[in-house]
Amino acid sequence: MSLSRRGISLAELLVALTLTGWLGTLTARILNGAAFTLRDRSERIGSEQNLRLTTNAVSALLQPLGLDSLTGADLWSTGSSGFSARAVRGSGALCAAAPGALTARVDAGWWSGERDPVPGRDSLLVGRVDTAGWRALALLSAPQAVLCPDGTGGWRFEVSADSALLAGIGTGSPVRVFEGVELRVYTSGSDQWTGLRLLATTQAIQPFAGPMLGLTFGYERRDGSAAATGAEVTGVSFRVSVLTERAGGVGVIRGPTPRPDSVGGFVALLNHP
Amino acid sequence: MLLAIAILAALGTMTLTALALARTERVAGLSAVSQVQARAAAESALAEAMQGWDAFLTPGLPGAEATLANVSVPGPALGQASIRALGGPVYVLRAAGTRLSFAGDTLGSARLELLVLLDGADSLGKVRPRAYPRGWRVLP
Repeated sequence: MSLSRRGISLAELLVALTLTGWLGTLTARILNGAAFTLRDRSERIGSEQNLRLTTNAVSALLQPLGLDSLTGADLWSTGSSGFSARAVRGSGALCAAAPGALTARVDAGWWSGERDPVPGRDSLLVGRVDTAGWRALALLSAPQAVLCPDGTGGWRFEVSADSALLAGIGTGSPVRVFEGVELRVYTSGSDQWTGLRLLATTQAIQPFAGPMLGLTFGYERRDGSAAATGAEVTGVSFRVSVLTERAGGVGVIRGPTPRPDSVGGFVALLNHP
Repeated sequence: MLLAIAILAALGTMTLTALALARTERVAGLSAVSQVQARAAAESALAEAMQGWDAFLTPGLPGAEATLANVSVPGPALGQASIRALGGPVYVLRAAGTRLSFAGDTLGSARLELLVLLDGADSLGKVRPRAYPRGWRVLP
């Protein structure tokens, strides 16, 4: 008698189905966990990038701010959601000064700037050489290419300044081109962004970091107490808040409730006496 | 069989994505640390130059420069400070810092400047600079 088997028994089918189901459940759990971790890491990297951008921009803007007896403080106004200040756009040194016109050296190694000076938008800070202090002068026209008295290349700045205003200003005077800027948090839709606005133009605020939950500033004197005016500020603390995990998720993977996170920083105004 | 291949492919994709994210974070972190070390080297050189120098080192002609300090800080990062004449009693101290890899490649760099007023030399022939207001800045 020959015994032949075809197909599978019910017991074998049940075992196979149980194993497949168990493997499927295990795999789904692993996949869910891994996908959730990846999404969380992506959110965190994005948020950290926001924090980095904001921190770098705030530090770059605040660190060079200072003051002197002639032109006052560079930090013009302060508030918990932003501030306005002088931002340097170029720097060099004068090779000649006369009433109504200043000439700055621009050959290699002399002038450094992000862009060419623009009248109406930029002003000049010119340093005295007889004593330590600066004069703020309005820039009346775009700089013209000229030669310095020693034959090197220069820029002629037309300014509204008589000989009294130019006292102590001459060859070797440092010169800075600056413009007024405002950095603050603003709302766009349901999100908050950090943006920069040029005070001399009608240009709308330009975003550079976001979205975020908020950005708050605190202004301190040297002894750590709260500063009331820009001239008193020697350091600025700030805190950026973001969501490092958002509600919802991708596909069947749902994250828990949104998780807020924040980072704080402190910038010392390195030019404050 | 097909299910197993699909699962393996999904797991492989996620592993590669995780590795790519980790690499991005590592590069960003290393770059930030290198920048800080380069800045520290430049500031160290600037601080050393601010201690003063022999009067004969002070350049005279506008644009002339003299090296005042070379420093090395952990990293390794190298810093150098020099004095540059602007044509009057106001001078500029410039400092540069570079963070090098062990192979000698530049991982980060920073440049600073500080305007200073120079008085005459002291009895030891040393020049002691005074910081000019609003004179410190990071160069682009």
